[in-house]
Amino acid sequence: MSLVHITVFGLVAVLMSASSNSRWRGWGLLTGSVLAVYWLQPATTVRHFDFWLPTIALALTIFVWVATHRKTSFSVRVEISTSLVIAALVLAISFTRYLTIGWHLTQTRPPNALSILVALIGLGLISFLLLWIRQKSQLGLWLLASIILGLFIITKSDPLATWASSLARVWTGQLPELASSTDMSWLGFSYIALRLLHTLRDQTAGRLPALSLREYVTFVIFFPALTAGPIDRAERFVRDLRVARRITAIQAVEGVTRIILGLFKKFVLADSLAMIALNATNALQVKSSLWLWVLLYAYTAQIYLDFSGYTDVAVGIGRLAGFELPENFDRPYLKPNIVAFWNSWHITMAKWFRAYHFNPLTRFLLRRKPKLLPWMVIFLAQISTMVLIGLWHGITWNFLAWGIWHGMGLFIHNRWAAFLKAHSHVLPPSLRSSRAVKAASVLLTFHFVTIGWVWFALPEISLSMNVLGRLFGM
Amino acid sequence: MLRPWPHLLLLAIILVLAACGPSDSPERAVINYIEAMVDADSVRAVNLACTAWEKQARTEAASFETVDARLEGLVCMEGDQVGEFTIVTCQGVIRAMYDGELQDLDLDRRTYQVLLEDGEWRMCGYK
Repeated sequence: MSLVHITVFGLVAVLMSASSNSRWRGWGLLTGSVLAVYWLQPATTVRHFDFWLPTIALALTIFVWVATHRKTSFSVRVEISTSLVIAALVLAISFTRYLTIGWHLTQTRPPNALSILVALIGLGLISFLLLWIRQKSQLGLWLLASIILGLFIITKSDPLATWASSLARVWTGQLPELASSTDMSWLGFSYIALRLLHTLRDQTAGRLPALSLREYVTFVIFFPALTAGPIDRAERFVRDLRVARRITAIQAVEGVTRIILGLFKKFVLADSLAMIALNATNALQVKSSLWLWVLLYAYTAQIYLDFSGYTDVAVGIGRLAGFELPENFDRPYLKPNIVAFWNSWHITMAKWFRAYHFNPLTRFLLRRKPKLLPWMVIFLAQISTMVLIGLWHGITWNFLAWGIWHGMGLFIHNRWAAFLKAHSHVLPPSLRSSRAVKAASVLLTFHFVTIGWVWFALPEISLSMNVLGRLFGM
Repeated sequence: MLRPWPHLLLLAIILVLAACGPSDSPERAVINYIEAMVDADSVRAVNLACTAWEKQARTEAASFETVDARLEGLVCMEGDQVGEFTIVTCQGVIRAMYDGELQDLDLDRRTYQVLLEDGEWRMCGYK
C-alpha cells in the first residue's frame, strides 16, 4: 500500500462511519473493498493479470459463500442483488479500458468487456452448480478447499508459479519462454486463502455463523486488511459490521494516531533501516563479524517495524470505519521465551495455525493407536505447525529451515519447562522470577529469533550457513 | 420480483462498448511506451508492447534502471500505414546522465512501428 492508497482508504473509512445507516454502510464497505482489490493489485507482464487475479479472488469468495452459507434473515432477492452489484462493479472497472491510460483503476488497461461478461456468466453458472452439489454432498467444500490450496501453493512456489505464468502466456498469446514466477504476484491472496479456508473448515464443524453474501465478501476482502492482515474471524468481524454506529471523536483520534504511527514505523524507520538491513547482496560484501551483526540487528528491527507498521495502518483505518480489528503484535522482542514470542508476533496468523492445524493434529495424535509418547506428540505438532508457517511465507528451503528453527525452539522450550517443573530445585521459583534471570531470558529469546531471521532474510541455504558461520567468527 | 429492464440496458451498453474500437491512439501508445522505458518500468513497458517486441521492451526498460533520465518536449504524430504497422514519428529528447555526463538522446532519429493487437495499439519496434 502506498501513501496515496492509505490516504484514500482513510477518507473512505471516515465516510463509511459517518453514516449510522447500517445498510448504506454495508454497501459502501462492499463497494470500497471490491474496488480496492483491483486498485491494489500490481501489474505483471502477463496481460490483464492485474484484472483477472482480483476477479478470481472475488469468484472464489462467492463460490465459498455459495457452498457454505446458512439461511439468514436476508431474502434470496437480496443475495442476488448483491451478486449483481458485484458484477456491475467488475464491469464498471472493465469500462475504464476505454479511458486514457492513467484513468484505469487497474494498473494496466482491463480486458475487453465482452470477455468479462462471458467470464461473469460462466461464474454464475458455476455458482448454480455449486448450489446443486451442496444439496447432495460436501464434495463442493472439498473441491473448493483443494482449488484454494492449489492456487496458494502455485503462488508460493517459484517453479510452479513460472509454469502457471507460461500457461497464462499461451492463453494471452504471449511468449511462454519469457514466463517468470513474479507474474503470479497475487496481492493479498495469502490472507484471502486463510480466510476462505477457515470458513470452509468452520462450516464442516458447524461453527460458521449465518452471513449474507455482502457480509461475507466484505469480510474476505476488507480493504484495510487486504495486503497484510490482520487475519480476522468471520464471527467477530460481522459483529462490528452489523452495528451501525458513528465513531466518536476519541475513536477518530485513536484511528488517525494509529495510522500516523504505522506510517512513521513503515515509511520512515523501516525504509531507512532497509538500506543497511541484511540481504543477499550485503551479506557477501561485509567481511567483519561485527558488521554482520549490525546488518542482522537492522533486519530484525526492520522486519518488525515494517510489518507492525502495516498492522497499525490497518487497525487505524479499521477503527475509522468502526471496526476493532484484532492486534497482531505485542512487543514480541521483549518476551522471555519462544512460546511468548509466538503469542505476540503475527498473533492472528499464529492463532489461525494453532486452531486449524496444531490443535486438531494434537488431538488426532493423542487419540491414535498405538499411543505416541506425549513428547513425540508435542514434537510432531510443533515442528509441523512451524514448518507450515514457514512455507506459508514461501515454498523455499530457507523458509522451511526457518520453520524448523522455530519448531525446534518451541520443542526445546517445552522440554526445558517440563524439566524445570519436575526439578524445581535446579532453578527455584524465587530465582526464576529475579530480574537478572528474566533479562537473560529476554536476551536469549531475542537472539534466538534474531539468528533465525538469517534463514528468513536470505534466499539460499548455502548463503545462510555462510552468514551464520561468519556471525560466530568461523 | 426482479425487474429485467435495468439489467438488459446494462447488457446492451456492454455489448455496444465491446464493439467499440480501441480508445487509445498509435501516437499515445508510443508516448506511453517511451515514458515507461525512461521510468525503467519494465512491467509497464511490456504491457505496452506487442508480443514480438516484449523481450526488447524488457531490455530497453532495464537499460534505464541505473540511469538518471528524464523526458523533454515529447510529442508524437501518427504517420502512414506500412503493412500491418502504423508508423509514428516523435520529437523530443531523453536527457540521461551516463557516468556523470549528460547525454541527449533525440527521439526524432527513429520512426516507431505500432501494431493493433488484442484491440490495443502497441509499440512493436523501430522502422
